[in-house]
Amino acid sequence: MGEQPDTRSDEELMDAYVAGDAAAFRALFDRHAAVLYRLARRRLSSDDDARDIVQQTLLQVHRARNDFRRGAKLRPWLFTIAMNLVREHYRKHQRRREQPLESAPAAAEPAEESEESDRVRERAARVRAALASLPDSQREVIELHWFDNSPYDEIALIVGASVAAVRVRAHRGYERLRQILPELE
Amino acid sequence: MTSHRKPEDDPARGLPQEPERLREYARWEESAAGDIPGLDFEKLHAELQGKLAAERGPRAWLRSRPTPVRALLAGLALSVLVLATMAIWLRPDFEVYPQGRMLAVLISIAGLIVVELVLVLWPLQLPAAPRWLMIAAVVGAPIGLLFWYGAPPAHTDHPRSIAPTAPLVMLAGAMRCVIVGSAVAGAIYALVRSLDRGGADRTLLMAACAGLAGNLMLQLHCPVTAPAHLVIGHLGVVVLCFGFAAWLEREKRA
Repeated sequence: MGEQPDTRSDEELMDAYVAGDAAAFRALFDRHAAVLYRLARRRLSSDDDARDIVQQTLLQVHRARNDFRRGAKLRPWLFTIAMNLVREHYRKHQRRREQPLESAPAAAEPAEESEESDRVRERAARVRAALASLPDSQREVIELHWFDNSPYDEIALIVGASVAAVRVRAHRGYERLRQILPELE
Repeated sequence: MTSHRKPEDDPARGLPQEPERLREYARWEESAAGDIPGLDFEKLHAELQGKLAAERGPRAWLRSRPTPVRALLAGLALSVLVLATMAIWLRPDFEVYPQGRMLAVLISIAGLIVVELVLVLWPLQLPAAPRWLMIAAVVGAPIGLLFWYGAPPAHTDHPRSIAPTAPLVMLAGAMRCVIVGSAVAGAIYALVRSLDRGGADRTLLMAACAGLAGNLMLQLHCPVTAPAHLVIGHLGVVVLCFGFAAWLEREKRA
């Protein structure tokens, strides 16, 4: 994807795109498509649905580009759009994620690496199951914070809550995870 | 793998104590995901470019306007509807209609339209409006109208305000209002649909908005004050809009 990574910030790229620079949109795609895919795939039951969410998110960014104001941050925009689209997808299809990410077919690998991969997948599956048991509001915050590296103030913008509320949800979520995952004690 | 430690996680600052092992699990999950096997980013980008290339024409232009401009365009259209009706098609009993009630009905309908429009135009880059509000807005449209239409007639002082009692004649008169109101609703629906950016199913909200716009025009134009006429001929426009929306949804899913 891309040859020379664009060093402009997300916001500079978005400003450039609004001004008509098509290459800036490609740079945004290269930078964020994988993150958006993981965010969607953690919540949805199929790779195709997650791919569709990535495309729909960036299409919405295009349609809403004239809403983007100087000084605003792009990441909350992207994540909020993606999560709204995921919720809409749930509402339409009335189902939760059924297959963990690690159920995707893996390439053939040597026995030792295969054993290690199996251990990794097993542990990841336990984390996934533990997260799935949390209330949506807590799970969203923890996933955004730990898997997507979003700071609390950004999470607050994405989920539409105060920073204090986001911290409370994170605290309660981690406490619950401690109970579910005994290795954390 | 990027470290998950962040400056604001310093326990001394009283922030939530994320377990150390959870960070390790996060890295496990990422490594299990690997390089997202099977995902061709170039193909994904090419498909996206196809969708972006299709974003042209009046509808694409309208929905890409800034949200305040989209709201202004919708507001302008409704204002033109109201002013045009008052200028060339005002109800003949306007002088004798109780002004307080007329104002209350118009403000109720206009207020509901504003709520519907805000929800239809709500940008996806903002946290979603509460689901209960969307449901209330949709349900509130017919209920709000029924509140006024089911009440005793505003007056019976004008000969054209009294609906015929013969059922078929009464029905024919009501159907004329359904047709006129639906034509207005159809135009407003087309506009609002063009302003909508998609991504969320707002068909019922758009239908409610359009139906209410039809009722707003009818309230300014139709002199009949009989409840039966208002429920069938005016509220019927909203019912028709919802029916159209339901049909549209079924067609989309087919």
